[in-house]
Amino acid sequence: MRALLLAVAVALLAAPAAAQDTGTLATEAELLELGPDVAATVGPPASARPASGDVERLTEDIAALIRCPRCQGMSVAQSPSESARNMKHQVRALVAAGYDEGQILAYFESSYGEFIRLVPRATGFNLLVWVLPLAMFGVGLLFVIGFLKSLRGEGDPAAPVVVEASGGDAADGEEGVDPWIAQVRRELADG
Amino acid sequence: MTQPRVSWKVLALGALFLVPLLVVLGWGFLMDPHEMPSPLVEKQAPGFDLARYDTSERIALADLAGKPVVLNFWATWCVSCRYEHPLLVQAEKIYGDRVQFVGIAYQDKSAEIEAWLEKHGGSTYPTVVDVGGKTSIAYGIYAVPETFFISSDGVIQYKQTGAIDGPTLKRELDRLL
Repeated sequence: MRALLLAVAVALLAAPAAAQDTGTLATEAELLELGPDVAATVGPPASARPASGDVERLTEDIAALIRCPRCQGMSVAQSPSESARNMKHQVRALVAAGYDEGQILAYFESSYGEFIRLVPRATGFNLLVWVLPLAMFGVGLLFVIGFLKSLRGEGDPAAPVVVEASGGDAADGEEGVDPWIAQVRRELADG
Repeated sequence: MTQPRVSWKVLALGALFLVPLLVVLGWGFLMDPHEMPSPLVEKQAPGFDLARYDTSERIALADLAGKPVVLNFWATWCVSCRYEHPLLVQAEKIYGDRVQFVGIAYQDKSAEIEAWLEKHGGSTYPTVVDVGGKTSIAYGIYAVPETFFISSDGVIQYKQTGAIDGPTLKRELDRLL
């Protein structure tokens, strides 16, 4: 019974993914073929072929850095779309051939442009993405510190005292107290 | 009643960050979000060697060297492909002796391609199937239709994202010749 329920659950989970397949299914050998002009674009593999156990881990790591071109802010590793899965197969083929992360990202970038990198390079105009949030945080922090200081500065004996001239309240021993506080005290005292 | 004090330093600091931010955002409004500039334009077209959907005969870009090529990535499930297909067929009838037109079916199956072409008046040029999508990846396809105009020396001269219109098609074909 449990096996039957499990089979039904697997079939239900697999159904949406299968429904998205519109293309001719590639054979295992076709999936492991490198795309056109790989060597001409990024040169020979930078390293030896990884052990089979490492291929899947490296594929996942690198696919997580490549943007799914047909999704909103998703990586090729996350997206179930057919184009993302094709791209992930290509990442796997490149990893299995010994291409490293830099070469694989460069290969995809050569055809899609820098947009395909989910994490933009921290150079040139892109630096804004990294620097601006920190700068805004710094400005915000300065603003808060300045505001807190100004609050404390109002009670600072060294700060210039502003007392309303009307009513001769200075005689009430409220020198150095904000006029509006003095007025509240007066009103309370008057009942 | 005291007036709130205005700190010119804070205002200047705020403006220092806010103005460039607004300039960047304003610049973004001037951009066309549908425009996807291809890094492949003015570069050598990626090679391909794919089988026709109907005869399984292989067509390789290398075999077409010496003749300009119009490469149209399309799919039977793509709505706007219906609108540009008659235009491409018409253009092939006029330019076909000087320009090689090739359709590349994107995420599609031979049976669907055959039925679709039959329904939409057939085709005067070959269509190959990109099994596994490797050629589409090499050409940086975001979505179909996308059309590449390749000069006789194999360099991509222009990329059209989305359905192509008549004037653009004619302009780019004339540029290839």
